[in-house]
Order: sequence, then structure tokens, then C-alpha cells
Amino acid sequence: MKRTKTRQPQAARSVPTEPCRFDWQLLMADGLFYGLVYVYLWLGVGTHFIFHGAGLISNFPSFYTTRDFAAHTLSQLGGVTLYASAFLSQLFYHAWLGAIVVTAQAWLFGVCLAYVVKMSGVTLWRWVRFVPAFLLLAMYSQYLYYVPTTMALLLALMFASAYVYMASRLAGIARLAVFLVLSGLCYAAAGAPYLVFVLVCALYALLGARLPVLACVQVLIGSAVPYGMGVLVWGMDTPEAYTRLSPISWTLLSFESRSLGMGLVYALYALIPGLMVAGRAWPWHSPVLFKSHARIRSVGVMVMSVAVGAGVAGMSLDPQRQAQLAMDYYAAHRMWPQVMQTGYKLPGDEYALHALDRGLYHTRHLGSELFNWTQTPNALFLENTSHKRALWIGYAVAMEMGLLNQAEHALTECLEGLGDRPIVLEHLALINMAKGNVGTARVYLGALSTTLFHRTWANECLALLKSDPNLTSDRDVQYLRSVALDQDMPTVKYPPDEMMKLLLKKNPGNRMAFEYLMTYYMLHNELVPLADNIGLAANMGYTALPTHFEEAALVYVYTKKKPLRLEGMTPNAKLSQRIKQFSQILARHQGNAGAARSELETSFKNTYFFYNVYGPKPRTSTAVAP
Amino acid sequence: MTLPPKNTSGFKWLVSLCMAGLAGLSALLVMSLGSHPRPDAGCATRDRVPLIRPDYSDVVIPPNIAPLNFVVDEPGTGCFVRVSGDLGDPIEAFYPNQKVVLPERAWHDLVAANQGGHLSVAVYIRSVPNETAGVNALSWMQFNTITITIAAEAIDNTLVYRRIRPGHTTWREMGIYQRNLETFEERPILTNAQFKEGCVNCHTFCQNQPDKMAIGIRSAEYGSPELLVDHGQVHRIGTKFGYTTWHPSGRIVTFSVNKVRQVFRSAASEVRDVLDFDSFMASYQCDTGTVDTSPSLADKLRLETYPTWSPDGKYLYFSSAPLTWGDQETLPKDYDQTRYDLVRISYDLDSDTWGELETVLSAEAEGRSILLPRISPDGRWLLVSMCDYGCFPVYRASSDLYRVDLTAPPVNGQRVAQRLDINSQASESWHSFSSNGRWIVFSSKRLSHIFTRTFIAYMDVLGDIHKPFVLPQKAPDLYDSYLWTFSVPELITKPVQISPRALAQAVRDTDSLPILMPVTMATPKAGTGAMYSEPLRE
Repeated sequence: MKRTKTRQPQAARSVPTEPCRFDWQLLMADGLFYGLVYVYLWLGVGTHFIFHGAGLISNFPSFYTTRDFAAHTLSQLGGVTLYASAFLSQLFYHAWLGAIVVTAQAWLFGVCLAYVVKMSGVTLWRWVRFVPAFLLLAMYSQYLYYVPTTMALLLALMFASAYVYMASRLAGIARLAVFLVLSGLCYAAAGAPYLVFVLVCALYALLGARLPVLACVQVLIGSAVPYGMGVLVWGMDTPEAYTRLSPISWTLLSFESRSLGMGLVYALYALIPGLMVAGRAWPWHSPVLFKSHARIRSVGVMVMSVAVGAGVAGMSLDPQRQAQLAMDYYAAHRMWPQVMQTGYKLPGDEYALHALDRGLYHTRHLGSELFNWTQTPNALFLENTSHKRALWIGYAVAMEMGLLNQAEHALTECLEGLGDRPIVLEHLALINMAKGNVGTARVYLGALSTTLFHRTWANECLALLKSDPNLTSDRDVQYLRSVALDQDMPTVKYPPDEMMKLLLKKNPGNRMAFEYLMTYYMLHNELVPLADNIGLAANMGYTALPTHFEEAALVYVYTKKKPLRLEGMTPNAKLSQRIKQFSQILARHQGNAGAARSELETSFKNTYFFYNVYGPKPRTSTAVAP
Repeated sequence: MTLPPKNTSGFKWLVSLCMAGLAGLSALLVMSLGSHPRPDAGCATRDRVPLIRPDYSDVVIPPNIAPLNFVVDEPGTGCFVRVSGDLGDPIEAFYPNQKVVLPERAWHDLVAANQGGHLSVAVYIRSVPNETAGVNALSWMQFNTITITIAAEAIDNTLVYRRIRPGHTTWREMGIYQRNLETFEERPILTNAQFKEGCVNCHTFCQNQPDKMAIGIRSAEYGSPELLVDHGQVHRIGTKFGYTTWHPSGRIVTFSVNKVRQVFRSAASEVRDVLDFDSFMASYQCDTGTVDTSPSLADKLRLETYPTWSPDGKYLYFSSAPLTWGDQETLPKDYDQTRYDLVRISYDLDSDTWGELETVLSAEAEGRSILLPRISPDGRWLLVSMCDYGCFPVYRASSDLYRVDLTAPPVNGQRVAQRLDINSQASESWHSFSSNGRWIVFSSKRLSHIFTRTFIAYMDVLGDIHKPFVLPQKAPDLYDSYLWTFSVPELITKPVQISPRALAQAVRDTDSLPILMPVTMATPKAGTGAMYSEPLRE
């Protein structure tokens, strides 16, 4: 009988021999681990805070369901990554959906890692497949946004896994052909993280298939592809062709806010190639006990993985950033009890204070509980800061008060600086509807109507614009029109007190403008203009003047030695008594404020009397860089 | 060693599924093509033209323009559209979503066959189903035919514009793009992604030719050079030019230097406003790499800006206003009283000498600020923007386009400016001529007061300008949701050939051609190159 000589692919010599079989233990372990990861990301982290961004995340992508957006995005180098990232990032809007995205990403990283490493003939601890999940947990616990960068890597690793799968069944030139085809696809889809694909393929050839020549050829080809495709086909500059979508891209490194915690991304990028090399250099052999007791091993691996995961999540959690993001999210959604609660976690944070003050106004406590928090003069209007966050956070107060142009200015800056986020488009549309700029409103609504989660409101508004072009039936628009400033004043920078006075001139019953004006004067210790304008309180429908405003009026009377009429309001006898006590304590210390501080702090810390003496002075210079 | 067993059954399933899906889709496509609804012969009529957007009714179009795709804005469940002319095959199709996208080849054949004639656009709307009568009772409504005139003269095939967001002081993505007007292809000339999100400023060409181009750059990392492109060579000039114009000889680039300040309005429809705290003009001599000026171009007591050379190169036209404030830092109280005259100064290229300054249009006489002079290639027609005050018409809703016949004799020593009928209630600005002088392109905010769109209008031999139309886009509803503005549209005879990479490389180069500003320049701070304190957005 003639013996048929069959040629086995070379890779077969070094490929692990385990036949494919369904491993229930592995599945359960993975299910349990990733299930816990999911629950933590959903309930512990909350991707909706990242979606909102709070003006801290400046590279969150927008996504539209239009063909133009798809064509434009997909035609770019790394277009698949960009499109997928933009789409998946929108799912962060719902915490439960966002957690699925991140967990799935972590799982896919783990699958690719386990497969590639195993096929390279490298034996590693089984829990190593959870390391990408640990790194992602650390990233999301710090509320860092690296979806495009990690998505590009994931795509590169999936291509690498596909290559390994095919190469293990092919030989010679076919293997190189597969590498070439996948190279082109991978680079087009993932951008510069393609270089990780090249590295993994070369390491597989070197360590798994033991084909050093092939490895060298792959490295040579791999290093030329970005030039060939990126520079010559896409017309990019050479550095861009080699760095696009990678963690060393200028689009990340040039911005401090976009390169926070970059070490974690670098670690994720280095993980698989590093493990392939390290596993070969220092092979891991399971202890005899583990070999004979598979169940003990599985349980041990599971317990250890969960413990490490919990440790990573716990240690890397950034409570301050969490509070900053949460605070702005709650304020944007008018969740005032949560705003107050979160405010305690951010002492001294002017942005948080700004939201707190807004929450106090909306719960009708601005005039009575303002000094329950340590106030600073600049927080009320986020004055003297040119940071984009001030625009992001500050537009809401301007809009609610009636300063529509100021809000439009802030939002338009956000549109450019932080991207066309749905919340920005929504408010720009509303402002332009209120201003009667229907054409402009339609453009913003048109864009919004092609987003994933804000289309309903936009379509309703577009329908309303058709049926009622003047929007007479829209309550929000009517409110904005009722408070909107109508006196034009050209200025380089909007002066808050002048603006509020103009608002009150138009609408003397604008309670927000009045309370903010009084608060502004109090925080700046400007008692003369406060006294000049406090009479407007008569238009606000108060039964009694808010406590702090009256305290300020009393300080005015005491310091200026001038009487002050509280139009139609009955003075609070208790407050008169309190200021007397305050003065007596100060007098007992011969007017030495420093010496009297501890005694006054006990009883008067939450009063304007105390702030007037011990409060911080307003900053006058702009020092914060964008 | 054995290989893991190959499990190909899943793959086969997948392939089979895909094939079945494709077959199903093909069948659906064939069925849907075969069953296109068509209007009945005796359908109801409506005695008006249908509402379509963009509005292309009664416009004059160039014979080489891309298809005028549009949305039919009438209630219905679809529309049937027939585009026809006296000659050639008509285009007809049913559009269930009422977004009319015309086939490019058929459109060009039809337009070419009817060059100098007319196109008729017949629109039939299929009615909304009546709940009681059911779908079978669907009826058709015919509207009056839309007429489109096709001019005999073609438009330059490439339009260059700056595409930016309607931002105020911040920017991220922007670029200068060239659009093929015969198709919908848009390609970047230079985007700021290539130099770390710096600012790409205005672009200028010499007599509609792409071989000579100037682009201003401002970048925190790479400085603020001016790029001069001359027949494929990029020269990086070590200072930034403001508004720029090429002398027709191509040997001189005249530019303004502006100390711009942005102002914000508290209650106006447009939030932004702009003023020049100071400005003057100078000329860059390409041959010698030197800059010079004249006292008339850099008067210490006046603001000079928006230079433009006459096509014969004998006059430099520009806007000029008295400088009424001394303080260069605080907002002048009377800044909204500043109005610019239109002046011109003669120039002799051979002797490099400037003549006397003369007023072409007086702001006082017109009661408006006269800006952005542009002259038709035959030298006859001058187009300007006029607005209530100031130097930045694109932010002024009052800005309208005016025409001056330069061959007509002055009346009482003044030329006569005629307001064009193509203006709207919104701002019109940034106009320019095609190389044959028959087409003008301009920026208008008539569709929305923030987003500037490009309009094209035909100017006939008598100088009459016909109803303009917005730059056609492949997606007929693009402008409904497009968050970009098109700024400074300029027509050129063929595409810019130099690659974006070469331009970006020039931006990033540290080697610039050093130029020295003349020390005799009248306006203070000349030569510092630091006059740009704020970006000019649109």
C-alpha cells in the first residue's frame, strides 16, 4: 500500500494539543467574574456620569444615525474603530447598557489574550485572562475615557487572534498571504494599534510556530504598512500614520485632560506581547496539588480573581472625580437632593459650589441656607476662570435666569470645545426657539433627531415648529421668553451684576435674578448696592425676607450707620438680637477678628455676619488655563 | 501532535445564511423596482408650485452643476418626480421618503442637452392614506411645474471654502476644503488636524487660479505663518497676513494687519460682534521677499482693511474708517458708530509707486459701512457688502450685497451703489466672482441665522443677478442638521493640486522666509506680528 505523505502545517508542531471541548467550569468562572464586573460597573461606577462628562471629558464622541455620518467616519483611517467607539460610547447614557459595553470589552480582551497566548505555546496562570478586566476596572473606577484607544487595541487583538487561528492551519506562503490581507484590514480598521497586531503575529511566529524568518518578514511588512496605507493612501503625515488612535497620539498627549491615567492604557497595550515573551522566558507549571484537584484550582482562581478585581476597583476608585461627575450630572438633571448630598464630598470645589447654590435656589433655600456651605465669591457665576468647564457648568444658571445670549455663548463654546454633545444641542435648540431663531433651532434639532437617545424630544419639537411656529404652546419657550433679557449691551465679558439688574429692569418679578443679585453682593461684600436693590424683594412674593438677605441688610445698617427700609417686610427681631450678640463678641475682643473667630464660629458660622468678617475676598485675575 | 478538529459547519451555515439573505434582498429590490408607483393620468392638481427645500424654483443654474437634490416638503406618503427638458431623456422616479436624489449621469446628460434652455420639474405627491378608504384609495396630487433655467456659461468647477463650527473663541476642527461643483466630492486642502488643531484662516487665489494661493495659519505650537503657494512650491512666510489679495501679476500680495477684538451682545439675535482695534495694510513683494507700505495704506488715524486689486492691477480698493479711539484695550463706547468708506489708490507696477487715494463710496453718503470689495474679472462690476456699522458683515444681519457699475460716470462725484434683489433679511457677505464673471458665490445666513451657507447666483451680461440657490449637496436634507458653516467661498478654475500633506509639512516647518516690516509704517506696533489677539471665526 502506497503511503500517502501528508504535510502538516508547521505550526501544528508547537500548537497545544488539547482538543476543543466545552469547559463548564471555565464558563461558570468567567460568568461569575464578568457578572461581578458588570454589576460593579453598573451600580458602582455608573457610565452615565462619563457620558455626561461634566466638562471634564473633552473627547467624548458624538454619534448620528445618518448615512453621511457613517460614510464620513468609516472613510477615515481607523474608521471602524471610530464608528464603533462612537456608537458604543452612546450606550454609556444608560449605566446598565454602558456596563455591558465595558464588560463585553473586558471579556473579549480576555478571550483574545487566552487564545493567542495558548496558541503560542505559552503556559500561564489561568487568571491572567482577567488582567485586561482589572485594567479596565481601574480605568473606569477613575472615570477615564479611553474607549477609542482600547477599542482600537481590541480590534487589533481580534485580528491577531484571527491570524493565529488561520495561520495554525496554513503553511508557507498562505500564512504570509493571510498576514498581508489581515494587515490591510486591521490597519484600515484600527489605525496605529495595528502595530500590536504585527507584534503579536511576529511573536506567534517566533514562539509558537518557531519561524524566525517569518517573524522578521512580518515585522518588516508591518512597519511599512502604516507608511504605505496611512501616508500614501490616506495622505496622512508620517507621525500621524504611526500613532493614530494609539495611546501615543497627539490627540491624547497634547491635552492633559485626555491623558490622565495613561499608564493603564500603556499596560493594556503591552499586556499580550509582554505575556507572550514573559511566559516563554519563565514558563509557569501548575503545582502538583492543583493538577490533581481541578475543582480546588478553579475555585482558588475564581476567589483570587474576584479578590484582585475588588482590590483594583477599590484602590483605583477616584471618589473626587466621581463626585465631580455625579454633581454635574445631578445638577443637569435637576436632582437637587442628590446635588446637596454630593456637595459635601467636594469641599472647596467652586464648580460644586456653583451647582449647590443653584440647587439652593431651586429648593428656595438660597437666602436661608447659603452659608451652610463654605462660600467663595467667584463660585456663584464661576467668574475669573477661562476653563471650558466653567462654560459647561455655568450656562444653566444664565439660561434659567434669562441671559439667553450668555448661555448661547457658553454652549456654543462647549459645542466646539467639548463636542456636539446632545445636552448642548438640546439647550442650543431651546434657546434659539425662545429667541425666535427658528432656522437655527431646526438645525440643532435636526442633528439631535439623528442621535440615539435624544431623538424623541427633537422630533416632537420639530413637529411643534411646524404646527405652531411661534411656539406659543410650549411652556419652556414661553418661560424663557418671559424672563429673557431684551436690552442689548455689547461687552467683552458679561458683568454679572449689570446683567441681573437689566433682567430685573425688564421683569421685576424675576426671583432668580433678584436672589442671585443679592447673593452676588453678599459674597462680594458689596453692601451699598445690596441696600440699593433690596427693595426689589417686594416683587418676589416673599412672606418674609430671606434670612441671609436680612442679615446683610443689618450689617449694612450697622457698618454704614444708615437706616434701611425693608419695603413691606417686617424685620426679624431675632436677627436684630443675633447681630447685637455678634457685635458684642467682637467688641469683647476689641474688634480683633482673629481672636474672636473661634467663639463666633460656634454660633454664627452659618450666617452672613460671619462671612462678612471672615469670608474670602474675590479673585480678580484670570489664572486658569483652558 | 494533532490539530484541533476543524469545525467548518458553522462557517458553512453562515455562508448559506448570507447567500440566502442576499438572494432575498435582490428579489425585494427587483420587485420594488418593478412596482414603482406612478401618478394617474387624471390626478388632482394644485395651482402652485410644490414646497421643496432647498428652494430651486426659478433659479438659473450653470450647465456643469451637480444634481439639485431636494426634499419635497408637502404632506404625503411619497412623491413622483419628473425632471425634463426640451431635449434629452427625462429623469423620473418615485421617492417614498420624498427625498429626491437625482442620478448624476442622467442629470448631467439632461442639463448638457438643454444648455441655455430650461428644465421642468414636475412633482406629484401621493396622498396620506385615508383610514376609512384604506391604502388602495391612495390618490395623487400634481403641482405646478418648477422651472429651472440653464445658463449657457459654465461655472468654475471648484469651490474652495473654510468649513468651521459656529464657535466664538474656541475651536477644535476646521479646514479649508475644495468642492467639485460638478459632483459632490469634497476634499481637504488643509485641515488643522494636521498641525494639532491650530487655526486655518482665510484663503486667497490669484484671479481664480489655483496655482497661486495664500493661506493664513495660527498655531500655538507652530506659530502664525502665511503659506504662499506658487506653482506647486510652498513658501512659509514668517508672519501672518490678515485679509489678503493677489496683484493680478502674481508678484505682489497685499494684506491687512488687524488687531481684532471679539465683542458679545447681551440680547441681540447674533451673540457675536467684532471690531478692529487697529488695522493697516502692507504688500509683500514675492520676488524680493520684502514688505512695504504707503502712508495711504497705513494711516495712523484710520483703520484700513479688506484690500482687493482691480483685475488690471492699476487700483487697490479697500475699506477705510476713521480711528476714533485711542485706547487699544477697552471696548470703545462708540465702536458701533464706526462705518467704513470704500476707497481706492492707484498703483504703477513698473515703478512700484502709489498714487492718490480717492473715495469710491462714502459711508456718510450711504449711511452704512462698506466692506469686502470684489471686482468682476472684466473690471466693470464692483460688489460690496454694506451693513449698519463695523467691519465684520457676516455677524451683521443688516449686511446686504450692493453692486456698483465702475464704467458708469459718477453722480455728484459719487459712484452709485445699487442694492441687489438677491438679499435676504439675514447677513449676506463673502462674495466672489467666477473667472468668467457670470457667476457669483456668496455666504448667506438666510436658512438659519448662525450657520452660514454658500449660495450661487447668475449674473447676466447686463449685470442683473438672478435668484440664487444654495450649494447643492448629495443628501438633499443635509442643511437641516449640518452643524458646520461654509465660509469665504472662492471659485477656482481647477482643483488645488498641492497635497494637504505638503501644506501641513510647511506649517510644521520651523524655517520661514523672514520678512521685516518697514519701520516707517505709520500704525503703531508694526513689525511685531503680534496684532492678532483674537481668532476671526467666519
